[in-house]
Order: sequence, then structure tokens, then C-alpha cells
Amino acid sequence: MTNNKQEKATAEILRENLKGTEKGQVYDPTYLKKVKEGLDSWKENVVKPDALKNWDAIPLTVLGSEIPREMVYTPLSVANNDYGEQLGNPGEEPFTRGIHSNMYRGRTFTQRQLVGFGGPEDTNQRIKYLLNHGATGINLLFDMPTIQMYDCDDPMATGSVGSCGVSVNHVKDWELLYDGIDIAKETSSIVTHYPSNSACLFPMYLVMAEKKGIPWDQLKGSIQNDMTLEELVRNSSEYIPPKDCFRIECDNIEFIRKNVPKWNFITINGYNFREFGTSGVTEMAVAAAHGMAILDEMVRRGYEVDWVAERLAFFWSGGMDFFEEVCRLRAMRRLWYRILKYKYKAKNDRSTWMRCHLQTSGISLVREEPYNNIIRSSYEALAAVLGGVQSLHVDSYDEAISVPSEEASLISLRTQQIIEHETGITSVVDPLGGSYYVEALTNEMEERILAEISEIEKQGGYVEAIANGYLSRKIFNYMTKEQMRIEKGEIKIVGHNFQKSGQGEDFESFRYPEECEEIQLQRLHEHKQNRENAKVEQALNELRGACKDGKNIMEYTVNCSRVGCTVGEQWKVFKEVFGLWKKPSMF
Amino acid sequence: MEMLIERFRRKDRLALSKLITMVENNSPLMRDIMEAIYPLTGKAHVLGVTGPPGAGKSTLVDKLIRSFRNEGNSVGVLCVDPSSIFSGGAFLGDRVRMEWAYRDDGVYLRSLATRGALGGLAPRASEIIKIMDAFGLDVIIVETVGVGQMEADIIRYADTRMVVSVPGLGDQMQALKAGILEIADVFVVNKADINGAQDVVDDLQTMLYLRKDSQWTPEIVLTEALNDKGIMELYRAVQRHRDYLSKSGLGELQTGKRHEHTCRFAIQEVLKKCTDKSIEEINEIKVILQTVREGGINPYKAADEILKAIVKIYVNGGVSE
Amino acid sequence: MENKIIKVLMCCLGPETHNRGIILVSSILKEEGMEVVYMGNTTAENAIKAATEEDVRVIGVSSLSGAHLRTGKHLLELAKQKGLDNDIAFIIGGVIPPNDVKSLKDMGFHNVCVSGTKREELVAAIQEAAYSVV
Repeated sequence: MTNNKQEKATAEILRENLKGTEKGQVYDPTYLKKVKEGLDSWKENVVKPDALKNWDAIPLTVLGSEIPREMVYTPLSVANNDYGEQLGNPGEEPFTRGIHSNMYRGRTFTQRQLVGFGGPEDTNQRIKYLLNHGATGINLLFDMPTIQMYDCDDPMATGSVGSCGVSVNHVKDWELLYDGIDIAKETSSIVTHYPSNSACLFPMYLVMAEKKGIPWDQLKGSIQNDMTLEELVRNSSEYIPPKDCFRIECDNIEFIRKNVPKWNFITINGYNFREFGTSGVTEMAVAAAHGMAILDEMVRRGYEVDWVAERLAFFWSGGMDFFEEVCRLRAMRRLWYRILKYKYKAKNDRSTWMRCHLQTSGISLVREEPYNNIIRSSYEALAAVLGGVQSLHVDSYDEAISVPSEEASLISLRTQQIIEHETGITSVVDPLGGSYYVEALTNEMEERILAEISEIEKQGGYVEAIANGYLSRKIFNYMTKEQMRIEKGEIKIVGHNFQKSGQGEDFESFRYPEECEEIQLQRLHEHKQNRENAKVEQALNELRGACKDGKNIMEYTVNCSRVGCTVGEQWKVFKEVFGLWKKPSMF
Repeated sequence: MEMLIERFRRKDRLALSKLITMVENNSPLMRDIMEAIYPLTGKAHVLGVTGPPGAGKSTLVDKLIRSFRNEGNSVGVLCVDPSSIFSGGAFLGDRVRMEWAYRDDGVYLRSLATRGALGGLAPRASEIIKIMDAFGLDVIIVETVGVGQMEADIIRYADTRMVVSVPGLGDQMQALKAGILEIADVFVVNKADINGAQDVVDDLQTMLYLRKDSQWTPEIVLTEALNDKGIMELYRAVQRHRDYLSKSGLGELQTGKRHEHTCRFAIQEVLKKCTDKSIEEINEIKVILQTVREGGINPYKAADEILKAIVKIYVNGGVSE
Repeated sequence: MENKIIKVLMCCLGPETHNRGIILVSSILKEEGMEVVYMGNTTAENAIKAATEEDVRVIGVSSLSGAHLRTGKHLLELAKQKGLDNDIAFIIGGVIPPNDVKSLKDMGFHNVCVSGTKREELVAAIQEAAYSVV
């Protein structure tokens, strides 16, 4: 799993392969000369000397990359930007303009809103509400105890049950959650962040399908199953070692790819990593390095690259620097294609697509004058659509204060619907393509992402960069610097540190049903009484053995779900077998 | 303060904490506290643990504590962490680096920041250890990070001194050998599953062979704390040393030396306070110092003069201590 | 000569996945010369045990997932049971709706520092809390 030091850096491989490609002349040289002369003259005679001195400006935004921008871009900025090599037609390599030829004309961005609070029955109602109001998918969020794999009767769960997501501990909870919902029809993005909790929770969904008589090959949706979240982003009192977490991640991928063919087995993060505190460039570099680590491992396990690559998907955060956000999506699409083609020699086009889901940034939203957040999220959503994402979640305006209310959720949904149906932007594919600025910035971002990938490779690859604390420290440095910038007002946030009005204090926020904790406790207690505890013990023992012997873990966790093991019980087995990892301190 | 000592005697943990805080903060009542609790000391076995960062000490100590607890001992832990030179603040994260100990009601865990004390920390730490001893804790573990003079001074206050190293230290090993290894009673090579563990053992054995002073042959124990390997052996090694100390009389000797050291240190503290106070308050002395600053008198000669002045005033019952 | 260094315990009650808040605040407090006993995710029982042993003056709770009313109440009740409520000041911060601020203060929290609170205000709040129980 550790990178062979003799291996070439990805950047080098790409450089070699792109060297010989034939480039067409984008502009006639005489024409370019004229443009240059005109530009020079303009700079001398029209532009004020002050403006000339400050030709480059660095927009300072929350989670921005601080890339300098020129005052204006011209044909000269993209003089060598060969259309075929750098852009391609939509649906054609290098896929800069989009992974499909007709993009949103053919298939719109899926409108999915996060849902989850209280007990299973509470969330069940909200899901039905959103489906009835036009949502085209379910995006399911669990509460803290469930995410961190504590059953609701664990002391760590006291007081937190159902507060910011739905509480589920065993298969029966799932059945209540999906009561009256046709899982063969609705796609569910189940936000099981980590490999460990994916291994415990997703099998419960599968077992529920079994019980409903729905074959697994009809199920559509995704899980996150991302090690970045488990080891790097989340706060916890206990972690298993990165190499074991990575193993579980790959076991999950392998099992799902084989047995649930329409399911997206990983949504490479992205979002949470960036929201913790880092730039859009680092976000993509880490995700790319992660994707490559997975492909390397799957090849090592004897599979073809395409087998997994065909279904890899990414999950990005959408920030406020409008053009940076558009351009990096285009840049990443091209970069990912190049990595898959030249480094991994993928055989199918599908394998080279950077398909992605994007969520508008939560960290960019503030408490003061909360309705402003609707405007922020709208711009972030617009950039995402102009950048060509496959699916979108728009944060609600009360995100900085609590779990979204029904009203706020609806506005988020409407934001997407208005973009799709009222702005007309979806009638043209890659509408910003060809803009001198957009193409120049896209090129710049691709270079920067690749440079950071090289840094990670120098650390020994993605898993090692986590294990040795390199990425943790990177986040810490960025986060503290950004915090300073916000406090000093260098990064301006209207209403927060700039143009403050003091409004927005009287705010009715969403109340989750606190009594769900008692209900869930009772339910769990009954469940434990009614199940066959001998079978539970046996299943857990078999899981223990599988962990030790290097077998595919999900095969065993499915079995655990069938006999009624809880999430917490399975997580305890992981901790026992793999031991705890002492995460290197951030500071 | 009598109330506090009374609660302390009745094993009130909060009282223990408060007394420790007073010592940490250099309270003027410190002498009274130490005098009051001193008679109760002498029963605890004090274990000093140090080593370079990354050696896995916290995990090791955590597992060792469990061994002590399994035998019914109450355990006190003092974790020393560095204070920032710039801000004076400190990040005390040792509690959560131990998986188990901080949750166990039979364990009392206290973090201690160095507060820029450098040479001065060890006496504070030793006083805190005495208070924990007087409280009735059976085993007290003092954990510090690093292999320098300060760490050496601290673990000198322990009955059993343990140094934890790991394979692959390279140059750091030399630094280790130059200082702290000289005084250790038990050597631990943790993360023994890593390549190079045997080299470390060989290195240590060579050094011990050359060391001729003590009658106790320091033991070398290999452990893999994360995998629960070698912990029992380590526990037994510590017990063997403890038995050796009591049987050979060396323990009594060391304790006696520490009593003397405490006494000497107390004397020095008083003298220092007295000197500082005199310098601040006595005009005659202030004048001499002014002349020193102006270069009008040799500082060494001035020192003699000032000393004479202080003694004279003291003898005549002047400045109160 | 007594040292007046403020000792603060920082924790998240329950299985919080977000630690941006607690990390930033702990870092700031350390830079301001305070000693920060960092507990991360923990139960109220462990936090109280730690606060007793470390003799902290302030307990700072970072809450970003909305469970603050319940977990906060549990912590304060436990502190009262152990007789610590006059000895330690409690501050809570994070994602907290404006209309919960009063409830938290009524419950016994000395102050509430919602996310976005400036560094100076935060430090002042902690200092003020510490001096209120000395």
C-alpha cells in the first residue's frame, strides 16, 4: 500500500504524455501581434498608472485559494489553449466542458436536500414532504451518536440523540425510516461518512431491502465511505489506524461493486475536508490523491482499473469566489481524465469522468442577517451549475444556527429549481467556456492542484500523509490564518465583519423533538430483548475473525445486520481488533 | 486553610487539587502546607517516566496503570507539559492521550505546565508528588517528555526511574545516552515491532556494561504498548526494583538524601526570598547596587558588602523573613 | 508572589464530529497565556472528574450539533451535585440559536459565545468568568 519510492510522480507522467501532443494554432500570429500592440497601447494610454501597478489582485474569500487575478484577460491569456487538447467538445476528452454531450439538456442536476432529525418516524415524515414537493432524491443525515457509532444507550450519546440527524441503531429503525417509501424507485444518498460506519450502517439498508423483497441490483444511491472523514476531519475520542481504515474502505468498495452494481460506493471528499478549513485547491488535490490510492489498491487486489473507476464520484464544497469555483470544477474534470488515461490507462471513457455532487459551503454562511445566506448559497449554486456538477445540495440560510427548518429547506430547493427553470443557463452546455478569464484560470487551477498532489506523493501518498500528520497540520495552518483574516476584516463578510447592522438576533429556529431520545432508548432496549443474542454473539465473533484474517469485512457486517447487531456493537469489534490510533496533534 | 487540610485528610479529592494548585502558584501558605502534610508522606512508590517525543509513553503509562489498578492500587499521575515561551500558556492534552486512566475513578490525574521554570520546576514537582503521597495514593507516576536536564531533575525525585525509547531514533539516541540514560533504573524499548529494536537493546546493554556505579543492574524491557505486549514484564521489572530498594536499604538511603535535599532547598528558598526582600527594602543595599550598575564598584566586592549588611540586619532582628 | 494563570478545560459533550471550534479556541487561549486542559469529545462525567483533578476555573463547552440544551443541562446538574458550581464558571459556544442564549444563561452558564465571536471578546469572556469564581 505504501508508494514505491521508485514510482514516478503523477505530474511527471502527465507531463511526459502531453509533451508530444499536436497543438493547433489558436490565433493567427499576425492577429495576436495586433492584439498585443493594442493591449500595450491601452495599458500605456488608457489605464491609470495606479491600476497598472496593481495589475494582479488577490480576491480574499472564505476558503479561497488566494490565486492572483489579472485586471483583464485577453486572447493573449489563452494564446496556446488548443481547443481539442485543453477543452474538447462536451462529452469528449478531456471533458473540460462536461462529461455528457448535452449536459443539463439531457439530465438535470439532481435536486437533493439533506434530511434527518429526531427518531426514524420524524425523518420519515420530512422525507415524504420533500418528495411531494419535487425533490428528486433523498439525502439522509444521521445524528452524532449514530455517525460516531455509539448506540443511543452508550453514555457518550446522552443528550445528543436525534439533535442534528436521525438516530438509527439497527435494522428495525431503518424500516421505520423508509416506511411507505419505495426504495426501488427513490435514490438515496446515505451520508455514512466513514468506512467504519458505512460498514455497519449500509448493510442494514441492504438487509431492509432483502426483507422487502427488493433485489440488491435494483438499489440506486450512494454512500460516502470516506477515510478522509474518519481519520482527518472528524473529531473523536477514538480512531483506528489509517491503514486499517483504508482497508475497510476498500473492502466496502469491493463488496458493493460486486453485489450492489448500481450503487455509488464512495463519494470522495471534498466537502467536509474543505469546510474544516482549507482551500479549494487542496480539497481537490487530497481527493485526487485519495482516488489514486483506491485505484492502486484495487489493482493490487487484482481488479481492472475500470471496474472501480467507472463508479467513482466526488463530493465538493462550493465556495464564494465565483470564478474560482467554476474553473476548478472544469480543471478537475480535465485533470482527472488525464490521470485516468495516462497514469492508469483506463479503457472506458466512463472511468475517466469526474462525476460529482456539490454542496454549497456551510462555513461561508453567518449568523448575522441570516437571509443574506440565501443570496450567498444562490451564487455558490449558480457557480456549481455553470461548472457542470451532476448533483447539488444548497445549504439553508439557518445553517449557521441550527438544523434547517422546513421553510428554509424549501427555499433551498426553490433556489435550485429557479436556476434550472427560470435562468435559462441550462440550455447551453458549458456557457462560460471560451472566456479568456475562465480558460486562463482553469489552466492555472489545474497546475496548482497537480502541484499539491505532488506534495502528497512526496509524503508517501495519501494514507501516509494522513498517518504522519502532514495533512492535519496543513489544515491547522490554513484555518488559523483564515480566522485571523476574518477577524482583521481582510476577508469581508457582509453583515458579519463588514457593514454590520446588528439585525438578525430575533430568530425562530428549528426545534427537534427532544423526546426522541427516550423513544429510541426504549426501542433499542426492546430490540435487544427480542433478538436472538446467541446469533448476535456468533456473528460478532465471525466479524472479529474476518477483521483479523484480512477477509472482506462487509460480507460479515451484512450478516451481523441480519441477526440484529447494532452499529455500536460492530464498531467495538473494529476497535478491539485494530487497536486505537493516536492521531498526531495539530498544534 | 485548616479546613482544607482537614478535608484533605478525609480524602477529599477537591482538597487535594486545591493544595496542589497552591503549590503550583507559589502560594505564601506553601510552607505551612508542606509542613502539615510531610508526616503523612513516605508510603507511595514513585515512578518517574520520561523519554523522547513519539516514544509512545502515554500509551505505555496507560497500560501500566491498568496493571497497578488490577492489583488494587490507587494511582496518581502527574503529567508535565511545556509552557509556551512566548505566551506563557500551555496545551495540556495528556489526559486524553491515555485511553483508560483518565476515566478510572481510582486514578488521580493532574497536568502540570512547566511555566518557564526551567531549573525551578523540579522542586515544585517534587512537592506535588509529596502531597499526592500524603493523600494516600499507592503509586505515583510522573511523566515528562524530553531527555534534557529538566527531565533528569524531575525523575530524580522518583524511586524508580524509567526511560522509554523507540527504535530509529538515530542521533537522538546519542543525546539520550549523554544525559538521562545514566540515571535510569528501567529501560523500555517501546514499539519493539519496528525494525531496529534489537539494535537499541544492544546499544543500551553496551552502555550499561560501561556504567559501573550501581549495585542494581538496570533492566531492559521490550514492549509494544499498542498491542499490549511486554506490559506484564515491565510491571514485574518495576516491582523487582521496588523490592530491591527496600531490601538493600538503597531505598532508605535515597529517601534520606531527598529529605536532606528538601531541607537544603527550603533553606535556599528562604535565603533567596530574604535576599530579594532586603535588596528591595534596605536603603543601604540599594545604594550599593546603584554603584554596581554605574560600574563604580567591583560586583564581587559589592556582593560581600551586601551580604555583610544583610547578616547584620538579620542578627539584629531586623528584616522579618 | 502568586501566579495568576487561568486554567481552562475545553471539551465537546458527546460525539461531536466538528472540532474546528474547539481547536481554534484552545489555540487562542494558549496564545493568551492560559493553560488549556484539552478533553475533546467526552462525557459530562469525565469532564467533571477532570475539572476536579485539574482544579480548573472555567469549563468551556463547544457545541456544534444542536444538542446544547440537553447536554448543557446535564453538565451543570452534575457540577452542582459534586459541589463545584461555585468553584467553576461554565461557558458554552458554537452553533447556538439566539433564542437559546437566555435559556442557557438561566440554566447556569456564565456566558454564551456563539460562533463568530471575535478573539478579544472570547478571551475577555473567559477571563471574566475565571475571576467571577476566584
